Amino acid sequence: MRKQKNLGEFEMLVLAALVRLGADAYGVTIRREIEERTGRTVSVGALYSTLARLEEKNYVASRVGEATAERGGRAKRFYDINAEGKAQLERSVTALGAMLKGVSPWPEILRRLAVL
Amino acid sequence: MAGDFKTPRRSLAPPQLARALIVVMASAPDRAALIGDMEEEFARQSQQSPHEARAWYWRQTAISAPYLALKRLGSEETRRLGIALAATLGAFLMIHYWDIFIARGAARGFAAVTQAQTYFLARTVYLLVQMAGVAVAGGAIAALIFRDEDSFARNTLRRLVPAGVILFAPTFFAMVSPADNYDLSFRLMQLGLALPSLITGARIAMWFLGRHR
Repeated sequence: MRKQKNLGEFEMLVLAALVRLGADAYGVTIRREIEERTGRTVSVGALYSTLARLEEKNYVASRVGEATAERGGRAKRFYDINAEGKAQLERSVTALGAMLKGVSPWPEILRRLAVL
Repeated sequence: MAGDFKTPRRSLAPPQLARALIVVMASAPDRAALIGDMEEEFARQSQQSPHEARAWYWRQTAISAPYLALKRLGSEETRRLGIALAATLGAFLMIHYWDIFIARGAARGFAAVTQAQTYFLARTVYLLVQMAGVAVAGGAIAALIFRDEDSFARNTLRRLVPAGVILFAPTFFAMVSPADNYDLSFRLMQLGLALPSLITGARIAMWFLGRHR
């Protein structure tokens, strides 16, 4: 059986952002998506290190896009999650959910809300 | 009217020092996209508050630095630089070993056999044997750090010449030192022959290895 490469927390956030953004996923939009949804500050250094690692693991592919004046004439690099990346994200989220079952306060809060 | 003249607003640019730090720390494959992203976000934020935009740029530089530095340390560029430095250090030690045990021995042997009355010929022998050692060092450096995708001239300029500067910096400093035992003309010959010897050695090594372009 092929050994699965585990995803870290930030890797999961980045892959989820790629799924959400689709074809418009590049450094600025990925960082903004994670910051807006999680409320945490994302450094571009951490983001690019993670994207490079995910590319090495063969979960994402990158392509060079257009250059714009507001970017100082530098091209964007777009990222796409592939089928293997999506499958790994699903496995990691499922594993995390299984581990949090009975630990996280959320199931309890949801149960109370349902009762009310 | 005087009131119509307004001072032109300076075009907003990211902090130069922060940008330079990012350029130095980011590894080559990511550099352009990463800096482009920073500039795009900076341009967007500076429309609302230039001060905040500059603060954001500095903050991003500070929190990105550890990630970029770590990535850079594991990059291909750093590995190649490490090999180049190790090759240069190895060549430095080899040249000095050759100088002490082979070139000086050859000069002494020549002086003993010919019973030369002046140092000139013995020093010439010493210099020639030493330059043969320098050529061997040049060949070793070329074999280790020359890139096949570059021409010989480009490899020489970008890799061999910087290595040569490091290798012969002590000779240069010895030349300008008042405590140097050798005369100036000898030191000048030594320095003048060093680079051609390195290049000759590199050329022979590339020819021998079949990597000449």
